[in-house]
Amino acid sequence: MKLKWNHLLAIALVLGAVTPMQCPGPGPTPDPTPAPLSVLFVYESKNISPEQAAVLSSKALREYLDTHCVMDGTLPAYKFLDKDADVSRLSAKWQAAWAKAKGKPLPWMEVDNGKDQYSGAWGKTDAETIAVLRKYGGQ
Amino acid sequence: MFIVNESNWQTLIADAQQTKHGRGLKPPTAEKASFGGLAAAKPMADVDLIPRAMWPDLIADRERNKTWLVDAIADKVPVTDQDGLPYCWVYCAKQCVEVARYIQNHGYIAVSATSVGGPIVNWRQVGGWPEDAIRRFAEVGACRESLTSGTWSLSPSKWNANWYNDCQNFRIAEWDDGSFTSAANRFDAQMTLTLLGRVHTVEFTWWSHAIAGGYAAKNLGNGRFALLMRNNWGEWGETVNGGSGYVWMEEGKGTSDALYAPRLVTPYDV
Repeated sequence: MKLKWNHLLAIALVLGAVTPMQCPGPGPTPDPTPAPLSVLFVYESKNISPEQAAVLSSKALREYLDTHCVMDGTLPAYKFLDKDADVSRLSAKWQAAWAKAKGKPLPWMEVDNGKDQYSGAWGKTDAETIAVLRKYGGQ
Repeated sequence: MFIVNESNWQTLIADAQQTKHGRGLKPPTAEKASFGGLAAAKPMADVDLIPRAMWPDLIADRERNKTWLVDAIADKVPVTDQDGLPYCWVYCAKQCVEVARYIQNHGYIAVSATSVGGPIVNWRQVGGWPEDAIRRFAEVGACRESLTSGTWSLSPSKWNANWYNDCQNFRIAEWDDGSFTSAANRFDAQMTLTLLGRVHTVEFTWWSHAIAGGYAAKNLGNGRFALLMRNNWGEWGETVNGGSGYVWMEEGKGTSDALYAPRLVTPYDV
């Protein structure tokens, strides 16, 4: 039987569906290179749970941030802000981070070490949150 | 550790009389001052109380992990000092704003209590209510203390001419008042705010005094609990984590007659 073009096309489509093209992917994501951090934590004070509040007032987390954040003027570069904050008095850097976090599920954090960025939820505990920060800010 | 309770509270009153520390909380029956446009500020009032059954475990977690408010601020926010000025009703709110700013990580800066209380009482040395100070913080704000002619100065003509404009940088943007709870479960509200790491004003008619709470809690056993609060009397009371001015108060004498809790202060780096 002589194959017609439309038959060949049908066969190719079926084969394609069964054995999809194996394109080379981007590969595993490289580990971030630790560097001094800037971190914006956003939360909703109205609905914050005791566990999330414990992250907010964790001594260990504050000590990590105080020693692993880049200096922003005289302050280590981190902020904890309620989602309703008016950030117009803060610098453009914080306003940009704020814009990135806008509309995200809370509590949320924006982490930036100058090379790599992380956007995501806080850890369930201060230890989990610090574990995330260590990947970007070092031990 | 000294814990104020029903059996020893008279010592606080005696201390105030002996050391001439200012207080200044007006009794609830006193006539309120007129506030004009300040009534526009609206507090929130919808905090869900944390059930008592959960308190022991949450307190144990906080103690174990050092995640109380007093752990976060350590000695970084100095104790406030009203000296002999009867402005406890302002100083408790000032303390709240300074702590809330520190928690948001805007650093510590002393804000002027007299820039808040002075306009409310026409720059007189008289008592008042924390509610009025909180409302003034929300509507106008406080200037930084360095723009005044002194910590307790009530002479704004001697202050930096920009003091009033500076107030917009140090405001309370959102707060809860005690109306989300009744007098019967006010201590539950104080404990809830403490477990949520939120500094708040507390006021005690029996002491004619207002201070701030929210720093830590303690389980005394047998269903008894105490809260760590901070006075406005400078180097007084207990030192905790390097910071002075603290006092433990048990439910009962430590149950506030009203409370106000800032949620958010103006994000502003000096």
